[in-house]
Amino acid sequence: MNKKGQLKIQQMIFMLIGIALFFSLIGLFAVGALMGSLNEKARLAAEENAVLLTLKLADSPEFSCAKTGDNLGSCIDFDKVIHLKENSQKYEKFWGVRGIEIKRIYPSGNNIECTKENYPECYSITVFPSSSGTGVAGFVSLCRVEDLTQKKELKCDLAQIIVIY
Amino acid sequence: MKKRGALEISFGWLFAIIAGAVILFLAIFLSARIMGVGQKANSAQAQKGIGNLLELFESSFESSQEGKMDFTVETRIYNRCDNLEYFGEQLIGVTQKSFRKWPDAPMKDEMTSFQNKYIFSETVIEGRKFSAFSKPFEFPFKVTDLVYLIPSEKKYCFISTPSTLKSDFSKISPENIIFSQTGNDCSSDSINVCFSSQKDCEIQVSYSKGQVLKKGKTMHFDSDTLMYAAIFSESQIYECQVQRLMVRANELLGLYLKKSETISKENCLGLDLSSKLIEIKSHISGFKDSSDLDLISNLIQEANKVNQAEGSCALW
Repeated sequence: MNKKGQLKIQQMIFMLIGIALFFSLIGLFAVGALMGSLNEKARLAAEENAVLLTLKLADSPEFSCAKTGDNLGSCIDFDKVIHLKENSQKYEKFWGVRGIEIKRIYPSGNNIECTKENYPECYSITVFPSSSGTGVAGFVSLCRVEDLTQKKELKCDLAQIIVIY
Repeated sequence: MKKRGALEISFGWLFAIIAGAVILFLAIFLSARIMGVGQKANSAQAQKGIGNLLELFESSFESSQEGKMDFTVETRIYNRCDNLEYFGEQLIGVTQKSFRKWPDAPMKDEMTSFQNKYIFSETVIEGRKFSAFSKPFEFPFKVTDLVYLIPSEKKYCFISTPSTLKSDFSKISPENIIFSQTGNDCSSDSINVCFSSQKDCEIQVSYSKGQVLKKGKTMHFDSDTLMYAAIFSESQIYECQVQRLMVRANELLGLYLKKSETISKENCLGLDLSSKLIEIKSHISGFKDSSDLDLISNLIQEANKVNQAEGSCALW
């Protein structure tokens, strides 16, 4: 009688462990699926932010050209951005992206990184460097003041702004 | 042999009761957890969505913009401003009513943070629909766009408003802001914003002195953009955001001073403008609260005039 009772208790314990395992597995699958969809939503939100930022970054005061009469939208002030690069560690988390790069694409030249020393004879400015991530690019004009024949003018080139998220 | 009063339960019943309890407990526990996670995920998504929507308010040419946010359920938006990081942080938290109950207010680490956004509102706003509009903050160059967030159900009645301000709203016209000459046509549940001494005013604006008196606290402003910020936000948020704006303005001043050095090589000297900017920078470095804005206000106007006269050599 005693042995029979012990056997039944053992049976019950095994059964309960089995049921607990079964539901834990279901829970794990559910949490896994939920986390997967959350990660996807987070990735989409970051992508949306990067796309919007590409469109709007040229208009933000740290990048934008002076409002002179012939100024069109999406214009990046080369004279300003070169100094922003020096101070970039302060702005590291400011736009919530991993990296920002500007590449002069027309007139084209070799891909020399801009520094204060070689400015403006350079073609690429890495405002924030990023070794990994996905880049979203947009076209902008990269302008600077130039003393052309004693008449100061904005000299603009075609450039690409790349936001890495 | 049977003991009197002893409860006799067969193994089958005992097993069913224990297993049933365990299954029921697990099911309730897991569904509550999953629902909680789902709710937090929805809140985080809404918070990020608000951030991305606000990205659209960053404008360069348009003077002000308006937008609306609609939620399918009753929503609370928590606005928090922190000055701990260098540029400070704009924190946004969202909770949504579920089963007629409001979840707890989000903790700081549950809120979405932005360093490049400045939202002016009450600490907690509630509703299904929210109106947002933005105006550029210039100091004297553009620093950013300030965003004002108000629940659509909350009505603001602007009494004896100067005509220049009315024209500000002619383009964006948020539905919940109405203008009244005497205050007679303001509804009883509206928040009265008075530009002249009157009774029953929740918010008193002294336009000439550049002061807004709200809930016993005085906030100072030097432009219409900051005046709206003071009207629509709590003083604690206002002061914190103004401090953050000054940090950004200070960094931009540094950029413009370096730019002036660079373009001076192209025969753009602008010495007068540089000296004005250095003076503004020294004032901003010692900035304590919004009452210091009065000191800088004149310098800003002068710097703007000099910059406009620079033509192609203009810094901003």
